[in-house]
Order: sequence, then C-alpha cells, then structure tokens
Amino acid sequence: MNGRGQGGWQRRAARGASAWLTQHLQCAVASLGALWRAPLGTLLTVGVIGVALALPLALLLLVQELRGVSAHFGSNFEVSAFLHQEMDEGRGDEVARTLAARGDVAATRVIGRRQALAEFRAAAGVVGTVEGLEDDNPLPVVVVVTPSAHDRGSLDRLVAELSEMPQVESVLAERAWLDRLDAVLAVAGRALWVFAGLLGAGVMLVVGNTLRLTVEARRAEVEIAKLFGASDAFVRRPFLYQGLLYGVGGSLVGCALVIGGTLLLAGPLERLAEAYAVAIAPPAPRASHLAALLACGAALGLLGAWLSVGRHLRAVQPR
Amino acid sequence: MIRFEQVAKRYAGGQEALHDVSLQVSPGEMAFLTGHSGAGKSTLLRLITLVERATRGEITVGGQALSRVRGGAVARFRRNLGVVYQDHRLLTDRPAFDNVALPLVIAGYPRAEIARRVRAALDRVGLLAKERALPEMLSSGEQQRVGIARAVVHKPALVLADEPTGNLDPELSAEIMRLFQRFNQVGVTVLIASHDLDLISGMGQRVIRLAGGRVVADDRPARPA
Repeated sequence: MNGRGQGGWQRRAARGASAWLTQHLQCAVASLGALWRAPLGTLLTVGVIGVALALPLALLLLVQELRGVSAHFGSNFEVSAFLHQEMDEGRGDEVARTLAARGDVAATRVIGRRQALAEFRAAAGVVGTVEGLEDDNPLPVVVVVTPSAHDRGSLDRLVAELSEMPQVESVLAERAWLDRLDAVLAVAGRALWVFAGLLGAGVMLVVGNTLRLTVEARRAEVEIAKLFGASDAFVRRPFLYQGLLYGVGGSLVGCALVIGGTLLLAGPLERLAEAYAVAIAPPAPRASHLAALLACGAALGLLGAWLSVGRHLRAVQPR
Repeated sequence: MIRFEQVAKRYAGGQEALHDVSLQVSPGEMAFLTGHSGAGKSTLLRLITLVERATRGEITVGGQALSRVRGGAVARFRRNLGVVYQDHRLLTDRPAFDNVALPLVIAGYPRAEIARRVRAALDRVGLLAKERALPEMLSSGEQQRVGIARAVVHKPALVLADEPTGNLDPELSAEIMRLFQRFNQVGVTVLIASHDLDLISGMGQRVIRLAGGRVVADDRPARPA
C-alpha cells in the first residue's frame, strides 16, 4: 500500500489557540473590509440602529432630568399659613416660634403685611391698582413653614394641624402638581423599558434582515467553502462579526446623536432653569450610559446575527 | 482508498442514478470514470464528497464508512479531499491566491505557511505570476488550473475531478490531465469523471465505464514495468 495515501488521511487535528485567534482576527478584519466596501448600505443600516439605540437613552436622560426637577421642588417645598386679618407681625413671630419647635418643621419665617405688599407690588407690576392700598393693607401676615419630612403622610398631617390652629385663617400647600409629575414620571420610567425593549427587538430585526440578504448574496461563496470542508462555525463567523460591527457602529452613532442632542438642548434648558430659579444641571449622558449603550448595541447586533444567520446558513447546502 | 459496495442512489424525484455499483480504487491509483451524460458519473462523485447520500449500500473512503459521517464530521471529512469542478467554482471576487488559499484558511494554517503553500501550488500549475488576478481576468484553462491548485494545496490523499476539461480545447485538456498525472505520480489517489474518451484512452490509466447507473466495464491497462 502506498504510504502517502492512507498515511495522509485524517492527519490534521485541531491547530490550537493561536490558529483559532488568527482565524478570528482575519475574519474580523475581513468583515470590516466587507462593510467598508459597501459604504452606503452600511451607513444606512448603522444609522437606523443608531437612531433606535439613541431614543431610549434620550428618553432616560429626559426622565432623569425631570426627576431632578421634581426632587428640587419637593425638597424646597413650603407650606404657607395665612393668619387672620386682624393679627399683626408680633402674633406671627409667636406662631412661628411655636411651629419651629415641632419635630416635623425644619424652618419658619414670617412675611409681615408691609413686606407682603411690597412683594406683591413688585411681582404684580400693577402699580396703580395697588397704590391705594397703602393705608388699608388687605394682606395678612404669613408664616412660611419648611417641612423637614417630605413624605406624603407627614406633610398631610402638618397641613391638617396648621389649619386647626386658631390663629390661622387658611393654609396653602400646593403639592398636587408635584404628585402628578411624580406619577407621570413613574409611568414614563416604566414606558421607557417597554420602549427600549421594542427598539432593541427592532435593532435585532434590522441586523437579522440585513444579514439574511448578505447570506443570500454570498450564497455561492458559502457553498464553495462548505465543499472544501468549512465547518458551520467557520461559515457563520464572518456574518456574526458583521452583526457585531453593525451593533457597535450603530451604538457609536447613537452615542453621537445623544451627545449632540444634549449639547443642543443645554443652552435653552439653562435659560429655562434660570427663569424658574431652579439650579439643575442640564442633561448629559454619563460615561456609564455610553458604555451601556455600546454594550447593548454590540450584544443586540451579535444576537440578531446569530438568530438570523444560523437559520439561513443551514438552508445553504452545496450542490 | 475508495470502496463502493452495492451502492444505489435514487433522487427525491424518483430518478435512479446508480444501481448496485461496486468498485474499489486503491491508494495511489489513478482512474477515470466515464460514460454518457446521465450515466451516473457526477452522482458517484457527489456521493464521495457527501453532497448526496447513498440510498442503499455502503461507501468507504480512506477507511471511513460514509454512512457514519454525520453533522460536524462532514466538514472534517471534506478537508481530506481535493475536488475540481467543471465550472471551476472559484470565488469570483477574490484573486487567484485567495481562491487557492481557501482549504488552508479553513484548516487554520498560519499565514506564512499558507503563503508558502499557495505559491508552491500556483507554481506547479504554472500560474505563479497571476496570483493577484481575479478569476474573470483569467482564461477558462487558467481558471481550471487555479481550481486544480486549490484542490491540491492542502495535500489531500484523494483528488476528485468532475469533467475538469469540459470546456477546454484538446491541447489544454491534455495539459490538465498531465497535471493530474503528475500529482498521481507523487502518491495522490486521483479519480476523474470525464466523457472525453479520446483524451483518456491515450492516458494509459484505469477506465471505469458507467452506463445507466451501472458499472459496465472496468479496464485496467497492463502497465509496463
């Protein structure tokens, strides 16, 4: 028997980790090259993925910003106790001292009748109307109370007890809109995850469908590779790398969109915050946000490729 | 190297391509498979490359029973073969070098060794100067030689060819056949399907003739010592 014949059969075993790494590197570079050679299609796919990934992060930043606003107003929340018309500043100080001794009150201050009128005049800007009120000031003394606890129960209790004080005519604690804002934010926070899930599924579908077309276009090549003994993993690999690259490219576009968007909004938001005398930072994605976006993009690209390519490649059998 | 035992192949459409074929090709042997188109030549080769499966009977290649080669083992089995196709089956968007390198890339050879072996294979088919050429820039005969270089670059023990001279003029055909003969002389088992009787009768090799899916003749020339 010819020694070369049988002896040469089945002599190639696995070639170890360095061959594996070499194949992966070659494959990654080749996949990048393939995307590079079809720039328009690649840009469109990456752009769609970028928009889909940017939207949930943008929404997350918006919700966080509004939470900041809500927290700001929540912690600067004040209750105004209007005293009876006939009571003077001295009674106001008395009431303020009594209240300041309470455990659930952080601070108190008294707005005298004269001061109240001056503030009203400055704010209303209706000089003529207010002018005649100098001698017969209709504004009551107000004791402004800053609560130390911000939970609903203690606030309600404080407001109720203030209302029952004999010196107090009425209590103003306009908190309903803050509660509504908090409720809206809770819904938005939940919707955000639903939204992110849907867009994530969208990204996988985009990658999967793009790669389905790529597999179709390279059908002959896949058949030839299989005829020469390429394993399923070998023929799958370039497509998986393409999916990964689509995901990474898309998330880079997404990061750029979010950063660009927040930069555009920063100026106007600052003016808005100034107008409301609120000290809040304009929204900006943190490094951890961008890293998470990148990781999500890469994972979704790879997963979308895996789900689509495996199925379509099995259908390609050499003839 | 190749053993067919009472092999039959019926395609899904009901067409009987092979009936009760038994034959054996020894290691280091060179044999032609001939017959009219539809005689079953291509089917026989497709059974060896596991593109098709036998309906009945057993095929053994290199000591492996093909009925037991399944799943991932199919790919590993194919890496031991070198196959040449009539339509070349080259990667049209890759230069000759990359086409020849394919079996080595699949097997995971290091880069330097791939380059060395590919150049050696291209040199043997006389195309070393055209390693950067895309298939469309090459003549049909040159494309076929690229296909042959690809089939032998990984030094398979068995080389199969399906009508390798199908579209070539007689002179080029003879040249291609001489290439196969040279590989056979260094110990490679070669099985070539061809209907070109004029060409193969002059080669002085074993000729297995198929007709209607059966072996009707198996002529082994008495080799001069």
